[in-house]
Amino acid sequence: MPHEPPDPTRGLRVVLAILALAVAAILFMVGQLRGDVPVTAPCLVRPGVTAILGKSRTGKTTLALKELHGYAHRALIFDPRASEALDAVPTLTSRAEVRRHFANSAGRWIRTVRTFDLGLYSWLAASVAHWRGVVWVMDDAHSLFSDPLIAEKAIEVGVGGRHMGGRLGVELWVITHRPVMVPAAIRSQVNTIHTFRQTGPLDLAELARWCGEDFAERASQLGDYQHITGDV
Amino acid sequence: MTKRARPDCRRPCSVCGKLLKPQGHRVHLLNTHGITAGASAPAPAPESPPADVSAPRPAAAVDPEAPAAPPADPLAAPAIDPAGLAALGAAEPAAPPLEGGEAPKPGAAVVHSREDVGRAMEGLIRQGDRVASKLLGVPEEKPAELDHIVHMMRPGAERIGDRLGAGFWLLAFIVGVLSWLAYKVAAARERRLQLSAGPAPSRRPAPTEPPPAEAPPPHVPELHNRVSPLAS
Repeated sequence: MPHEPPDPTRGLRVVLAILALAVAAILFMVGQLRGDVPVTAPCLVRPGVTAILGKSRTGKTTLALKELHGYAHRALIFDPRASEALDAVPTLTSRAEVRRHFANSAGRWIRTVRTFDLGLYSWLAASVAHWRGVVWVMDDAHSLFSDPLIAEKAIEVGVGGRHMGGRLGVELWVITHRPVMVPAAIRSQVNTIHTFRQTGPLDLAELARWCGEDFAERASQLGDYQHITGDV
Repeated sequence: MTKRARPDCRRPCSVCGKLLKPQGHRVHLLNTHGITAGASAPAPAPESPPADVSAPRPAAAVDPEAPAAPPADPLAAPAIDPAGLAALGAAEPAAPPLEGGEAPKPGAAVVHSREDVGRAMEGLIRQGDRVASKLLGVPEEKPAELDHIVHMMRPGAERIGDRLGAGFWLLAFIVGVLSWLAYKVAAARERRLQLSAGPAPSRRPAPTEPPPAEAPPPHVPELHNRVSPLAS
């Protein structure tokens, strides 16, 4: 039986395969070392913006807090009007407290930023691209959007929040009783709407544009503390 | 007799959101989350007093310090990356007074590490370059020397070779040894195959046989120049 002639390039091929494996191992190691977050880290937030609408004192912030407790891993609530519903939430009132909190911010938490100094909100909003897995809740959002920096950062989060924060994401929630005063770039990114009673014609028209005439009609007929939820 | 509906007095836990009666909130915090509520217990009263935003909230009392999570848990990472923390300023709230007894101004950045110094110097250099370019009217362009200085001021840990450390050289050594072994094994196997197959087939072309002798000239019938006796 004749022998097959040995392949003279066999040894070379084995060496090349091992070298390829080594290169792959080195690239993987470099990738692991360069990233601060593991590659497999899941995104902690949902896509899109959540809007909670309705007239004043109908339960918007209470509903937001309840939803956050059931869903959010980390939530930072901008509370320029000192809502009563947030009194039980630990509060940050100064830059020093904010810094101290973020320096030890691992784990689950919900915090309220509560001050009459609008500069603190814009100072904090300027760092939003560095947050990781945080739900950013803007209570009484139409007053916060008067600051152009806050509005700009909110639009960034609304448009591309899931790509921010080292793949852990940042999510935006907007609580307001004047949805027409929310920037159009944020309104276009709204995925979920919880609405209490709305009576303003402009707000109802905006709601009808988002979720249809029937939804707006139902929102205008809701009783106290009743709300409906719609997906855009 | 119909049972009268009673208002729901339960409130969500400030850590996990579970609905609890006010009297059970403190026990739930202690047993489930290991948090001891202090004098300012986090159990929210049904009728909350008006918010006093000037008074700091009892953040530490209800601080939901998460238990030690495995490293793969994304919640184990802080909610802001180091660059964001640097943007917010120093992590430590109270810096020691300077040598002259002058305390740092509130909100001033406090430098803690070589990374902070490198970043601060880089910012200063860029800022100075911008000012110089405006004053001198030259286009803004950072000289190469400054790049070198900034690079040198960064900690060595940022350079990839240092981050890889001894692991990189160990891996390179292992790959080299494996490659050499694989080459040797392949060569020995090839030699064994050649021995078992008998004498190695010569790769040279077979020795040329002696050139064939010159072909005999075609047989030509011999002409006998004989004169016919009839001719004479």
